[in-house]
Amino acid sequence: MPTGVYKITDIPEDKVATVVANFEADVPTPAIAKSKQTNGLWTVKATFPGAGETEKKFDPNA
Amino acid sequence: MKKGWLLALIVTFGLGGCAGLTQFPEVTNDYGKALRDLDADYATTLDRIYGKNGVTAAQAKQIRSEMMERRMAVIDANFKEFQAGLVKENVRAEFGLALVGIGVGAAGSQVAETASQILSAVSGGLAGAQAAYGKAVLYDKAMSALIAQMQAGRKALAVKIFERWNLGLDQYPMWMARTDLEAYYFAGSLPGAILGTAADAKVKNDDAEDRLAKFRVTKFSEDMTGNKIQAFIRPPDGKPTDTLNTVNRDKVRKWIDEQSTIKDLPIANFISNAGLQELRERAIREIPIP
Repeated sequence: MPTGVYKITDIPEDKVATVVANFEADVPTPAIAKSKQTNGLWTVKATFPGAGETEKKFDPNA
Repeated sequence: MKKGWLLALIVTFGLGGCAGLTQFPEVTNDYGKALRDLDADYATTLDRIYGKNGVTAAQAKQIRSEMMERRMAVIDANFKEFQAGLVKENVRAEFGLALVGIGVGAAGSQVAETASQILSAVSGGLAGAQAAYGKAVLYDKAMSALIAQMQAGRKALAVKIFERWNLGLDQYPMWMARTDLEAYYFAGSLPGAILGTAADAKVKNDDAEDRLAKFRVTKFSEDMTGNKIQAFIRPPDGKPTDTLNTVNRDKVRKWIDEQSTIKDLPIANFISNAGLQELRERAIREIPIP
């Protein structure tokens, strides 16, 4: 069962919906965020519930 | 930064508020006397090495080796006895306690043999006996795992000590040898085994995280294998508008989770990662995907 954050980058515009559908096919269903890269391609970010998120960084001043 | 100070204050006052909790190890002004009181053998060994008479480097190493041999022999003998006691007595004692706990009665707790205890427990109530027996078996398994961990921990430290055995005192000083011996002793204890097991679990967990880390960001790629799996999940063409076939999706999910290198990888990343083409080909053959 996937946990944490996964991204697929450099997606052509006409394939974004397919990638989103592939993420949404999984169990559990992740939260999806799409963003356009500066080169015109897209990134789809899927956040699955649970541990394993790699984006959290330790901040000693937090 | 404010949060850091707040945390420090909470920890300081929190620990200070715990009655009886000692926060610092003891200190002394007379280290010579303190060491003699704590560990006379070690103090004597130090005196022999650094005393007025003076010894050569080879003699110093010899004295250190003697001390280590002596200690390892005692630690090993005590461990052997300790281990035998754990295996023979504790499981039976735990089983007896479990029987008393379920109200089987004094007769059940007094018989010595495990088989008799089982029979006695059965007479007092089958469900209770099963619970007690299950608990004892679980305890037995846990104890076996801890004993295995103790043996492995001791072996690893024995290897470390052996590798340093021929080093001179400048490279392997007395304090380091003593620390290694204490670690060797601790590895052969139940707390040492529990810590060792926890450390192993953490390493395995870290390995698992590292294993998946390289897949967390995937550059989009498309090929026939990915398209085929996609169409299998969303027949007939794998288009986003095609209905998800949950049976086929579960087959793909199950196959991914059976592969140790990609277990828990999202299906989307499995389909879109160029480096996983061979695995996708295998999935198509093994699931199988027509």
